Amino acid sequence: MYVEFNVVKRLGDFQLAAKGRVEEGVTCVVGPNGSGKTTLMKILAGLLKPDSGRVEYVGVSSRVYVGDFYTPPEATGLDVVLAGRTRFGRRPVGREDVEKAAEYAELLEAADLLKRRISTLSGGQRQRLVIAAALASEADLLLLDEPLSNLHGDWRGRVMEVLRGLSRGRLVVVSTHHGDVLKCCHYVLQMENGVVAWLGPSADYQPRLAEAECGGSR
Amino acid sequence: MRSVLYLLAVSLLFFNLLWGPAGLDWGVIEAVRLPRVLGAVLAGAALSLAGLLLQTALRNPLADPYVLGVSGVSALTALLSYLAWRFFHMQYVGYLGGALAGAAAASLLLLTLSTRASLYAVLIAGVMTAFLTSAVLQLLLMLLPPEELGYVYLAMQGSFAAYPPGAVGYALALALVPVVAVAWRYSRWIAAYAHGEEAAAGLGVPVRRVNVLITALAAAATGLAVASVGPVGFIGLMAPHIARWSAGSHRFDKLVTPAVASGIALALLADAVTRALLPRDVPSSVVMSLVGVPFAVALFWRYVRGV
Repeated sequence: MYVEFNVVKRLGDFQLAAKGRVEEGVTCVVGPNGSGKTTLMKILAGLLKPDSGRVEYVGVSSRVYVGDFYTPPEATGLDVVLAGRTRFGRRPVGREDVEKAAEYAELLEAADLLKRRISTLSGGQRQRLVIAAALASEADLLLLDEPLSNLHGDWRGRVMEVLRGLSRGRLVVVSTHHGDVLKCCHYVLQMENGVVAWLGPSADYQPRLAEAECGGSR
Repeated sequence: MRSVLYLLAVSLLFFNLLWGPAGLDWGVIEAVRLPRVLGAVLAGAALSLAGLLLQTALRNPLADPYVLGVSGVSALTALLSYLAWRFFHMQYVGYLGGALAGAAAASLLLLTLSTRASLYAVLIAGVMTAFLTSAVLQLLLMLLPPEELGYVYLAMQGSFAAYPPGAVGYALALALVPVVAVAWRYSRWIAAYAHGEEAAAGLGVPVRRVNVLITALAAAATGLAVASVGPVGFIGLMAPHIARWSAGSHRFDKLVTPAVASGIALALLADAVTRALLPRDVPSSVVMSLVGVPFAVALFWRYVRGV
């Protein structure tokens, strides 16, 4: 089970020319802003068509991409998690869908949020619901674009643990700016200026993530 | 709350069919009351569904079927067919004939646009069409002699009583069934639009195709309604909200049946009030807001207190 890609995509002044392979397990995608993480993930998701090249999916029958995910204030937590199961949309929402939703929410300790309205929840709580929605899709290839951005360190670790646990027989791709989660991934893919600068097991990766620096003046 | 709505729709249906000066005379029921009731049911269901589709797809609680411009074109072509008969002695195809032709043409145009452009572009095109047709309609009305103007103007207001009787009426009503069925079938995909089109695409919805589907369903439903009873306001905008308040949910897939029911209930209520309290030739669209607003306010009050 893997996804092999060799694609070129031009978006305005930016050019992506990426070549690599995503294996079973959790792959962390890292890189500076504008390096092409989202572009690559959208191409792998089938949301963007490359200008040239191809993506080969082996053993992957379903793919879900979760990035900018608006959560309507009047929606309930359950509504959001159920949205993750949209790909089963040919059937009306059934008991199985609700049970799976509860199951995945439980994994992210968000089961008590299902009955609440989004407007009453914090950013971190909403984000956990969105991650639960992504997991509820049970897709073979799961692409999560910066799912940890609103989460505190403790939560980042717990979410990554859940993803790791669910990554058997699945390809989970997570993009992040947080260096502390890299050890939770099986592989690291580093993007730089639209190319894959490094790809391999996370144990071998020497983190080169930039740290913020504030100027000396007040 | 939902069950109250369904109960109301069903009881109004029976009430409107069985109550009247002629009592339970089947001949009268079939010839006089059934067309009105069918008109109310069709217009209520169709406009409410169209409103719900557009509000969901555009993520805009103020979207209304008339922003598609189908109603405007339909009214214009209906008037044109009348004027063609009046001034050029052409064959008169009736309000229905002229209106259906216009509704079909407008729908086809919107559909074509939806295959090439975003839903937002379709919306803008529809709004521009609505403005344009409204202006042209006003100009054309000025061609009529003053003594006819009042009559024609009134005839162009929406009225359930104008619903075609007999086989044509049944056929139109039946034509709405597949529209509702398809909307229901794809309701989970359409529900995903609440999270943004990109999110919906990421979740597996073929957004380009579903945009075309949504346009087709909304245009077809609106076209059927305005061609058969003329322009009736309020339902398209408010029935979806009433459905949300009574269902306690904002999810499209949970709202299709409540929206259809609330549209039907509103329309039948307006028709009942028209028949009970007002002179026979008051158009239903006029009564719609007078009846609809208190009804909506009462339900909204309960919703707000419960949230």
